[in-house]
Amino acid sequence: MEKLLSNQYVAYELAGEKYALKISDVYEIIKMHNITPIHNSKPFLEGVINLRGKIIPVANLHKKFGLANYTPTKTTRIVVVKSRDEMIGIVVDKVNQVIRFSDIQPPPEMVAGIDGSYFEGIGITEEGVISILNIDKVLHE
Amino acid sequence: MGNNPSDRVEPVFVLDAKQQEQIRQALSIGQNVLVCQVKIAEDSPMKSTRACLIMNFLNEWGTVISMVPNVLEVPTNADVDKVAFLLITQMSADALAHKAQNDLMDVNEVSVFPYHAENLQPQKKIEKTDIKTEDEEKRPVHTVRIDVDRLERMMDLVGELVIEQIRIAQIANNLYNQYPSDETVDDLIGISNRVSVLMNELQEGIMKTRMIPVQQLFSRFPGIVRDLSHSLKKEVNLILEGGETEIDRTIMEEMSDPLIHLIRNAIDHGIENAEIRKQLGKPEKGTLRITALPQDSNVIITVEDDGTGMDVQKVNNSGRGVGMDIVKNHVEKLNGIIDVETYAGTGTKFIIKLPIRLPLTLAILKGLLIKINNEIYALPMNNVVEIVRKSKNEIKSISGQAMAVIRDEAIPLIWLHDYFGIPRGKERKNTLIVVLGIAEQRFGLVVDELIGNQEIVVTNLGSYIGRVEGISGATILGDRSVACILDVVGISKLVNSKKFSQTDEEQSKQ
Repeated sequence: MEKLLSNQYVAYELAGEKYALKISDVYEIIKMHNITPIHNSKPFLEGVINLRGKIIPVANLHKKFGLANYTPTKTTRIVVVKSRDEMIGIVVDKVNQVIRFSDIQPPPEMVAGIDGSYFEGIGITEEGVISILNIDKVLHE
Repeated sequence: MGNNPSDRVEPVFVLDAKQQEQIRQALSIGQNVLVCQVKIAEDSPMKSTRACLIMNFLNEWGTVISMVPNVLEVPTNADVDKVAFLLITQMSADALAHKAQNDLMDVNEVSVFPYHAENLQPQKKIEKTDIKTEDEEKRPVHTVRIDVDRLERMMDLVGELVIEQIRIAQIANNLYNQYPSDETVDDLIGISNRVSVLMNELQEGIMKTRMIPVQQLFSRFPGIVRDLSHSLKKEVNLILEGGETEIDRTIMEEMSDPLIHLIRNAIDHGIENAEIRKQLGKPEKGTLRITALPQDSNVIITVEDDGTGMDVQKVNNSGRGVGMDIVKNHVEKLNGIIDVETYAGTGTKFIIKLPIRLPLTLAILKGLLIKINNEIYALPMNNVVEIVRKSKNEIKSISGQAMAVIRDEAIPLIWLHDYFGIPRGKERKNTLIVVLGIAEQRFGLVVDELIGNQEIVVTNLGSYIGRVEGISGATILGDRSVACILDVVGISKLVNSKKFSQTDEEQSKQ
């Protein structure tokens, strides 16, 4: 069961590029909130939101990866992940679907101009390849 | 008849630990513990009832803590002839015997004699030293031990209730704006206000459960003083006063180390040894006086010795200074103030002023909501001195630092806009300034809008975000949005960096 679960992934988009997260890393997906900025903190920290009475940080991976910044639209979502026992939100432009990969290959040194060490691997589907994020590494390094 | 010792057949009282403790306490404060043996007249009807009446009689002159047989438990028609009472009283045995013989009816014989306390279970011997502890608890207190985690949980729940209450109030207000003539909305507002009052009481009540008498901390000092004075070969008379003063347990725990440090200092560096004191014409025995006194919402703790006094210059250059830093840091952390009075040759007095209740670190505080540009922030109301409007020409640039004269005092101004990297609000005729205070420092925060004050629930930003300079936490507002709480100590440090303190003109020049 655990193995099956770890083989399921949530696919989403950042600036037109597809990425995936292990479904077991994802705590919740919510609609875009008003994000309260925290100035003079981590460079890619977007701010904080109220998730049903809990205040959680929201990261901006567009900034982290040097992509064009997002503009909130109807499809913009916050993917809440659990990383190192803390809930952290990530702003994504669109959440696609839950998918499985037929094969996962180790990441190259660079993935679309982003340091390859941020990725766990490259997932292969019939429609193409999707980079799988190592969320702990992305958020904490 | 009477007090003839030959009559005595000492009854055996079975005493539990609590009764034994009562006896020890009574003896330690100089009360008498007496056995009063009564023979009820042969022809007395309802002897057990008579015995109860005797007990009531004795209870007027003292406290009956045990009796044999227990007249409260025997049936009313049982044949009781001899009853022995164990009584704590101020009266002497003779006086009580006299009283009983004169005042009791249906009684043949009364004998009163002191209870042999050596019958008590041996107890840890309390060492008799010249250390005096005043204000020892004398009255029995009914208490419940409670896990601190449960209290914390209760605090959290109250915090959440307050948030929801604030939301209800907000929704009620919205409804009132929509349906101003609807009576149901009036009712809702009435209930909401009532709930708010109850909530305050609940909060107060829970805060109070966290309070404990300072005595619990004080009780550790005699041992420390004894050990120190022995090892340093000094004679010290410790006086503790105000042990009944109540203070939040966390504050008390935080203050334990600093106070012990001050005690060490006083005995080690302050109080001289007996020989020197004699030469100086001081009493050979030094005095260390520690007091706690409630004052408004603060407690004043003083640590005073009659030793040599401190050489401030020397203190700054010595190891004692480092220790004092720790004391200062602890006190500052608790939002307290410390003062030192020292007189060469006559002694040193530390005066520590602390809040009785917990400050910012815990759950709920009164906050002033303000806007900086269009972002909402909360300021702890405790630090808000006043709010003023100043016209542009009342704000002067003094060597690059914007200042406003408020109540005859030149107050430096800060624009957090610049610090946060957001544009200053559009120029207005008047500048809105919130004057903030921390310890002795005063400064003005330029804000764009005042929203109002309300109870806010403090949440820290979590370990992922970590420490952010100028922000002490965040809170959820009635409309479910999040506002950051400004850290007044952090912001006060910005005053010295002129980057955030330029007048509009100076700033626009760049």
